[in-house]
Amino acid sequence: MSVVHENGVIRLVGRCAADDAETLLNLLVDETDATIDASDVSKLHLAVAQLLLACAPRIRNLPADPMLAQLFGRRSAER
Amino acid sequence: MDELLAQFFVEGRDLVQRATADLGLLAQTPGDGSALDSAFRAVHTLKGSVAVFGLVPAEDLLHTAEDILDRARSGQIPFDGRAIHRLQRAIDRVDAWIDNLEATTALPRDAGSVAAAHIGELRELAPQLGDATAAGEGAGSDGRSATEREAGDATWAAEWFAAESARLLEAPKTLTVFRYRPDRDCFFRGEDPLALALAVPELILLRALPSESAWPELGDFEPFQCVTRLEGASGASADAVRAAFRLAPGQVEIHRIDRDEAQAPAPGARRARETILRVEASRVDRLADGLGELIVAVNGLARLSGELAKSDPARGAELRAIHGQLEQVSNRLQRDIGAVRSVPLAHALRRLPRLVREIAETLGKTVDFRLRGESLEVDKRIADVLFEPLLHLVRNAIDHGAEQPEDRVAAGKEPACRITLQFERAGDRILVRLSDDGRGIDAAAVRDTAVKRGLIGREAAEALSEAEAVRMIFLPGFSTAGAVTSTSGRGVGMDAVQAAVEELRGTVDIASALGTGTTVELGLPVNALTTRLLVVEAGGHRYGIALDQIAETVRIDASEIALAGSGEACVLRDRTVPVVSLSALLGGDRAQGGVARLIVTEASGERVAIRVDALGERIDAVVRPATGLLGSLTAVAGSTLLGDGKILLIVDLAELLA
Amino acid sequence: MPAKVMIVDDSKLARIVAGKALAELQPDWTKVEAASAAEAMERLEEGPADVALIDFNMSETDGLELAAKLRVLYPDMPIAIITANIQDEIIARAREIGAAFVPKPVTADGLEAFISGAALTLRSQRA
Repeated sequence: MSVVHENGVIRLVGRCAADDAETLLNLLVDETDATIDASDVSKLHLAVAQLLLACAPRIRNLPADPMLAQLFGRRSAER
Repeated sequence: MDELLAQFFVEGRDLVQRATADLGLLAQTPGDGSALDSAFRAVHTLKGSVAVFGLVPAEDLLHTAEDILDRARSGQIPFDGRAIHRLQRAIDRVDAWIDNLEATTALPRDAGSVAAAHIGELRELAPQLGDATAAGEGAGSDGRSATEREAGDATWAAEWFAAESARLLEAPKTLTVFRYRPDRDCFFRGEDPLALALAVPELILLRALPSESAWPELGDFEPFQCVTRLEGASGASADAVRAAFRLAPGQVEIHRIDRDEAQAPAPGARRARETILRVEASRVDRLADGLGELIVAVNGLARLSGELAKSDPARGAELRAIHGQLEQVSNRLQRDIGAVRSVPLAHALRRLPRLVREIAETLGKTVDFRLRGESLEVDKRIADVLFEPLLHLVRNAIDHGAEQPEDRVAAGKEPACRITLQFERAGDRILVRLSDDGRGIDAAAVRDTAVKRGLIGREAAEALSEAEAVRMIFLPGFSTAGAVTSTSGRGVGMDAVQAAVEELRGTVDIASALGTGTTVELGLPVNALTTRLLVVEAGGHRYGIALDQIAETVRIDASEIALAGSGEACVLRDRTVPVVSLSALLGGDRAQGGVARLIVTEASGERVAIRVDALGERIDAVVRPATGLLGSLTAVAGSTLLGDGKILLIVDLAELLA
Repeated sequence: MPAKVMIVDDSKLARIVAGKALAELQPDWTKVEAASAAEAMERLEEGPADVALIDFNMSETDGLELAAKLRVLYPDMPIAIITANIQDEIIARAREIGAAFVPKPVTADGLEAFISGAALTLRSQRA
C-alpha cells in the first residue's frame, strides 16, 4: 500500500509506482478537502510526482529526501 | 511588402506586448525592478525601431515614455498606478499606429497632436523633465545602443539561478544544465523520467515544470500521461550528464554554463543560442498537404499487408513491419510539422487587452481584464480564426455583462468587473474559458426575446430549462441587437461565434447565473491538420465521423429502443436519449436488425444517439473541406481519401441534427 | 489482472533470478521460460504471452533480433531487453523496436519501471 487515505489526510508511503497515480488522482478528486502527507515517500514515480505538483498547495509534509522536497519547494518562484 | 517593414510589424508588436506585460506585472507588484528594467528595454528598442522609418510622432512619444521609465528606475520619480496607466495609454497608442501603418502605410494625420497630448500627460509625472525632447537624437542619445541593452536578456537558467542563489553558494563555478522533455507516453514504456533525472551525477538543482503552460486541472488529468518537463543543474561534466540520459536520447538538451556570468544579467551574458527562421506560412502548408497525401498512401499499405497476410503470412508480416515503420515516421513528421505550425496564442491575442481597455472606456465601464495561459501554443489556423469570436465574446461581456461601477458596489462587488480569459490544454483539446462576474444572463429575458423574434414558440420556450434557455443566445437571428451600439451591434451575433468555432470543429458552452456572472467555454482541437475519424456504415455506405463529436459508442439490443412520440428513444445510463437512424437522416431507410449500434453525441448541445449499421475502424485523416457539389449538401463537413482510393464523406453531426 | 510473461535467457540461473524479481513485483503474474529464440517462438505457438523479457546476449539469435521478430507479430507487446552492458548502438536499435532496457542482473528495483509500464499498457489494451 503506497497511497493511504485516513482522517482527511492522503498519505504516500514507501515506493510510489506509476500505477499509484490513478489511485491518488481518484482520491484527490473525491476528497477535495484532504491534505497530502508525503514525508514517508522513499521513491516517487514521475506519474505520481506530477499529480502532487499540480495540487501543491494541498501538500502538508514534503518528502524527506531533500532533492525530492526541492521539486515542490519553490513553486512560488516560477512564473 | 518591404522586408524591413514586415520585420518591424513582427518585432514592433512583440515589443509592445512585452512592455504591456511588464506594466501589468508592475501594476500587481509595484517596484518590481526586473519588470521595470524590461519595460524600459522594450520601449527603448521600440523607439529605435520607429526611428528607422522616420515615424517622428511615435519616436517623440516613446522617447518621453523611456525617460519616465528611466527616472522611475533610478528612483527619481514615484512609479504609481497613475504612471502605469499613462504609460499604457502611450504604448496602446503606438500599437494602434502600427496597425494603422500596416493598413495605410502611414500614420494618421493627427498623429503629431495626439503624440503631443500624450507627451504632456507623461511629463506631468516628472515636472523636472525639460521641454527639449529632441527626437532627432534618436536611439543613440544615451550612448548605449539597442543591441547592447538587448544582450542583457538572461537565459532560462540565469533567471532560475538567481532565484536559487542560496543553494548554489557551494556549487562549482561551471555547471551543466539540462532540460529533459519526456514524451507523453513514456510511462507506458516503463520509463520513469524522475528516477532518470535523480540519477544524474552531482545533481545540485532539480525542478519540474508543466510541459504545457500550466498543470492540467485534476478533472482533466490523464494519470498515465507525462505532462512534465524536468530541468536540472549538475556539477558533473556535460559528458557525464549526457551519459546519464543515454536511455532517453533526443529528449534532453544539455548546456555548460558559467554560473557567475549567467547570474549577472549584465552586458556580456550569453543569450540562448537558438536560430530562428521565419518561413512563409504557405510553405509550411504545402509541407502539410504533402504529408496528408503520404498518410493516405501509408494507410493503403495497411490494407495491402492485411490481404497479403491471408495468402502469405511471412510476407504479410514483413510488409506490416514496413508499414509500422512508415507509420511511425509519418506520425513523427506530423508532430514536427504540427509544432512548426504552432504559435503562442499570446501573439494572436496581442491586440485584445488594448481593445478591451478601449471598449470599456467607450462604454464607461471599469473592467479588470486578465489573460491566463496565453503562452499556450496552438495551430496557426486556430490562432488566426480565434481572435474575432473572442473579441466578440469579450465585447459582449463588457457591454452586457459588466454593470456600472456604482451598481456593482451596491451589489457588494468590487467596482471593476473582473473578466478572465483563460486557455488550458486538456488532452487533444484546448479549453478557452471567458468568465465575468457581471450581472449574468436573465433566462426569462432570453425566452422573451427568442419568442419575440419568432425563433421559438412561447410554450416551447417555457418548457426549456434555464441552461437551455440561456443557450438560445447562440441561435441565428437572436442577437441582432436590441440596441445597436458601436461596440456590440456590428451585425455579428453570437451565432457567428458559434459558426466560427464549429468551423474549427470546436464546441461552445455557456453557463450563467443571474447576478453573479457568465462563463462561456470553447473547446477546440489542438491539431487542425488531421482529424481522428470513426468510420461507420449506414444504408450500405460508409461515412466518417469526427471522434471529437462522439461522446461514446454503445451496442444495445434493438428491443431496448422504444417508440417515443413521433420518434424513438432508449435509456442510456438512466437517461432517456432520443435515437435517430443515420441512414434515415441521410434520406435512406431506417436501420434494422437485432443489435443496435449507437453513436452518442452531444454535438448539438443535447445528448442524441445515432443508429448506424456497423462501426468500423478509427483513422487519422486529412479532411478536405466540402467544395463544389459536396458543398451544397448539408451536413457534409468534407471528404477524405481512403487507402483504397475511395472517397469517404465526413458527416457533421452538429449540422445533421440541427 | 494477471498477465503472462515470457522470460528468454540461455542461462537457467538468470531465468530463475528474473522470475524471482517478477514474483516480487507481481505475484499474480505467470511466467513461461525459453532458453533460446527458437524455443521462444515454439512456446508462443502453444499460447501467446503478454509481456517479453529477453536477454540480449544469447548464442545464435541475439535478443534484439528476437525482439524485432516479436514486435512484428505483436505490435503492442511490452518487450524489455536484459543486458549488463549498454552500447549506444544497441539503445538506438532497441528504441526503434520499441523495447525497454532492464539492467542485468535483474532485480526487483531494476525491473520495476518496465513492469509497471507494461501493466499500464496491458490495462489500456484491455480497457
